[in-house]
Amino acid sequence: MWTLLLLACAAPETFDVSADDYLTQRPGPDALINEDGLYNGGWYESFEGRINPEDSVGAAGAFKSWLHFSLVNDDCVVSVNLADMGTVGNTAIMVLDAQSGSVEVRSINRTFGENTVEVNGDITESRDTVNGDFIRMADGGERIEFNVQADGMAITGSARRLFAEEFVQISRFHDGYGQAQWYGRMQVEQATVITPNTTLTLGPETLGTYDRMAGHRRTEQAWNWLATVGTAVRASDGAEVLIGVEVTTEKEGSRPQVDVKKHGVWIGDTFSKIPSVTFDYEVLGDHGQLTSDWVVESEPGDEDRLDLVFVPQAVRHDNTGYAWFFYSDFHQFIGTLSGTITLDGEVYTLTDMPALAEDSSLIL
Amino acid sequence: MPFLLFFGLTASAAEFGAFATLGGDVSTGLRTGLDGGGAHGELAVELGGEVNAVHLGLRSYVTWVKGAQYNIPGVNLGWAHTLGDDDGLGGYTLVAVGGYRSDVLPVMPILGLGGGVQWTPGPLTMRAGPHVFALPPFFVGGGLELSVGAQF
Repeated sequence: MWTLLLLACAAPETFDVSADDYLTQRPGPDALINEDGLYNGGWYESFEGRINPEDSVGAAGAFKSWLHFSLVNDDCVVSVNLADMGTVGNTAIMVLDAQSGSVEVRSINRTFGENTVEVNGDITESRDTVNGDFIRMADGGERIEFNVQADGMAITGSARRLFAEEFVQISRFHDGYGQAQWYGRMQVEQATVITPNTTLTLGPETLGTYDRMAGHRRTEQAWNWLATVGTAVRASDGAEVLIGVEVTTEKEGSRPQVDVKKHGVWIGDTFSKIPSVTFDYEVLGDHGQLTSDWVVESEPGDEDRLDLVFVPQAVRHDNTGYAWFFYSDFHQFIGTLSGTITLDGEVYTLTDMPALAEDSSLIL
Repeated sequence: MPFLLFFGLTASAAEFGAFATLGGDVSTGLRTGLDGGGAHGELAVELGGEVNAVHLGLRSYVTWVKGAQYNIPGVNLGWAHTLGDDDGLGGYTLVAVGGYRSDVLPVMPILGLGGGVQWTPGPLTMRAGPHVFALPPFFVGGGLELSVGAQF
């Protein structure tokens, strides 16, 4: 009986979004949700329209929002999250020692009336209304400021945005579900990270990624993610060029499966899509904590393409859930990315660039 | 204090029974589709008359979801109704709502509904039948349970 009930309510297995043409960049829409209660799917130059989740025909409880960033240098990786997941507010700080592979993590969930994390109306600031923690875009989005603490760990500081253009996309799912995301890259101005064992001072040698998200999230989600920022060598003249990579692909387990082509690179000040990207690696060990090297490549024949190998060096595995309410199986890897990126006929070579990757699933 | 009230009510009732219950169940998250399975148990007293009684119990659900075990104890309050005479084969229904401890709510309300066959072999009272429990719109579960008790 339960199975029949669930099937009646379940999302479709797949959902065709080819009409959204996620490889063609367009001016941003006036609003997140259209007059039919559906997400205005597309890849946009920018999006500063109305955030109107109340107009969605999707379940109101599915609306979530967050600001998140990661910092990487030769010594450490830091990942910070302030999320309003509706019924749950999450504050998380993770610091990974890149040399030893040791990880310190604090992840605090506050449920229902105790959720004090709020994201503002234009998704530029996530704030804990009780203790004052925040991650926010400042100076019109040119800088990122943060001050977050979680159970004995803390990070405070600021960064400036790299690349003039953000990667801005509204991904449309079924029945009023979807999400707006703004991705960018940043360079630390100054930051202090406090863990139980040490205090780290980070400066401009530390680069990072950030993303802002608001949307009606699917109940079942599974993904691979790869992100980095650093210096690559341009083949035509040998020049060192600042480059950013952002790739998210669906894994089996997402429902519905949606191909929204969230993969591309920043070179110069612009973000360009790479039409196709696949991940190929083997999970090692009983709990999937270790993997072989990841082959990250585009389909044969694509002119704009990735031909990269990600070598994982350390992993954070976070398997959490509560009974029938939620479940997450989160693997975040720190490693190095090497290989080539080909864009507009130019080839860029990456050599051992620090990078983050994920192999994760989530049921909300 | 709740225990004093509990035993005070027991002592002052015109008639009361004491029951121990064990059951097995399956469950699912209505939004998440996360399936569970496990067992539940309860120690309870019923206070009242021969047909209708207030049910007070300490109940716990032990559920496995995706390989993780969750112990969800709570206090169960409800209304028990019996059919048939005291010495023979009859039936019972039990409607209750409980307040349970959980990591997602300080007090998680769970609605329970049971019913089935009741018979009284000698001094004992036996009950057997289906039991469903739910916290709409989050989860629903159901299974079978067996109770052994004595009426005083």
